Amino acid sequence: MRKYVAIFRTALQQSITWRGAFWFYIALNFLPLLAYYFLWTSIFQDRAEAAGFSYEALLTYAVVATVFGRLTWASPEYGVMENIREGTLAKYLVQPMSYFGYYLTSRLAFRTFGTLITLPFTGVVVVLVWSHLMAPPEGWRWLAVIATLPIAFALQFLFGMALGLLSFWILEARYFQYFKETALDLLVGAVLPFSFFPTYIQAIFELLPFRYIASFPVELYLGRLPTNDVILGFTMASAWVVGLFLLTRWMWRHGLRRFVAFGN
Amino acid sequence: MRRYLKLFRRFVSTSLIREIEFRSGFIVLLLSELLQDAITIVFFSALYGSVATVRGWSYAEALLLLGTFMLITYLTHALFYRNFARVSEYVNQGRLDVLLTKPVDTQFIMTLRYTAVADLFNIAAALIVVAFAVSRLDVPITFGAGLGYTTLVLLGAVIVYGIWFAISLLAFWLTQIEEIQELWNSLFDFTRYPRQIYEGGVRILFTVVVPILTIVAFPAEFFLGRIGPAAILYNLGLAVMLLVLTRWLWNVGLRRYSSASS
Repeated sequence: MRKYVAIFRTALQQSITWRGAFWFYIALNFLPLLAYYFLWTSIFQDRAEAAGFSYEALLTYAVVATVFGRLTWASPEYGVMENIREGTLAKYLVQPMSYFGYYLTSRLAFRTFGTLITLPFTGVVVVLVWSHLMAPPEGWRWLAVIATLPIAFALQFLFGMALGLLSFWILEARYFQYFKETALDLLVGAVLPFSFFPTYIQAIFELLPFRYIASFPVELYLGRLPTNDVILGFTMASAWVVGLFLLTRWMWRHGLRRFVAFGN
Repeated sequence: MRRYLKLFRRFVSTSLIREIEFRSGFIVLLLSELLQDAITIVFFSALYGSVATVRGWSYAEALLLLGTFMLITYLTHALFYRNFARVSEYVNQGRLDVLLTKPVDTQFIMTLRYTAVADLFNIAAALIVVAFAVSRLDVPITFGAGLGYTTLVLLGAVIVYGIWFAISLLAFWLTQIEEIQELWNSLFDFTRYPRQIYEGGVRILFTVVVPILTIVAFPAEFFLGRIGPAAILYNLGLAVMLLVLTRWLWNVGLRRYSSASS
């Protein structure tokens, strides 16, 4: 346990050193909110609802989805791909710690620092659109929403690990990174709530694990999910976490046999 | 002038050799950019499923706007992207030294050295979106509209050069942030939507401080017959002003430059 505390502390120091980059990228991630604000304001000038959303609900959706996306962002794939491609993985293999544990700890540390920087941005946005923001209809939803955060983080982490470990088989897997970020925006429901899509596409979105990163927490927050769906959602999300964990472990065990490193 | 044209041809051919060498990387990059546009098209179709118009823009008109956005994006990616992405490296690693010793204008090499012929593929995709949008519109296609559209698209590319280069030049001051030009991509994304949605301080910001609002909107609106030739003059003036301004910024930045190599 003590060694993971040390990894956490080192990663935290690392992120503080890169604070300029943290500010920059988190600011960039908040920028699209400005476009959404103006777009929704324009659309709701001559109507009261769109796809079952009021102006306030849609604005709240965009804000909560953006903030949650930042709070649960993990992306270990950059590091994992480099480790495998450049052979630096060898360094981790000889050290007495779990490779997964190392990445999980360091990404948790990055997220801790990232959260500190996300907070002022969130504060500014909340103050600016305060009069239009909606709170969850019932108190227990606050707790449920907070409970989705570790699940969403675990999913983001495991997607990244799975993508990173693909490098064992496909050396140039790094190109998939570009796809991941873009496709994920749509699949998690950050671009637009699912109810804007035709029902058969909604059905597909709801079967996939991605919705638990944005759509599920935000719809839960807005009170659009009845209690039964909330319980079902938490069960499914947990099952996906376990399933993806087993998948990445399997990839790790089999991929490692293919791994070759040269030099030191 | 002829020397510069000849040099530019050489730049294109050596860049092409690089592209062929690293083709898988280029192809995946192109596809991922197109995926981004595909998602925007999905966004617009889903949105227009519930909404008939956005500030007077119908679905087909919004697609024309998006096609124009893609056209200017890939035109400028083909010509400038790989150069502006290197500005930070030139400045922070002292690689600018080598460029400064060349017997041609340094800004010319720095901003036009690396082209990407592969982006022609995405330009073709953009033209398909434009053509599809036009086929669904009932506006008369005249020679004047086509000529004005083309002129405004090219002027748009020049304006993009000015703003994007200015942002990249921040590398002289903000040495810590290597991917400062990402800021440009995020800002330019605002132009995918009708410019009429922006109000108040943000409209002023995007008209005066970072003048992005007319780059994509003017070609589309001119084609639709909503604005006249004055729009061409406006963007021409903007383009000239930005070129002069970036030239000045470049000289100021260069004075701050302290070589890092030996």
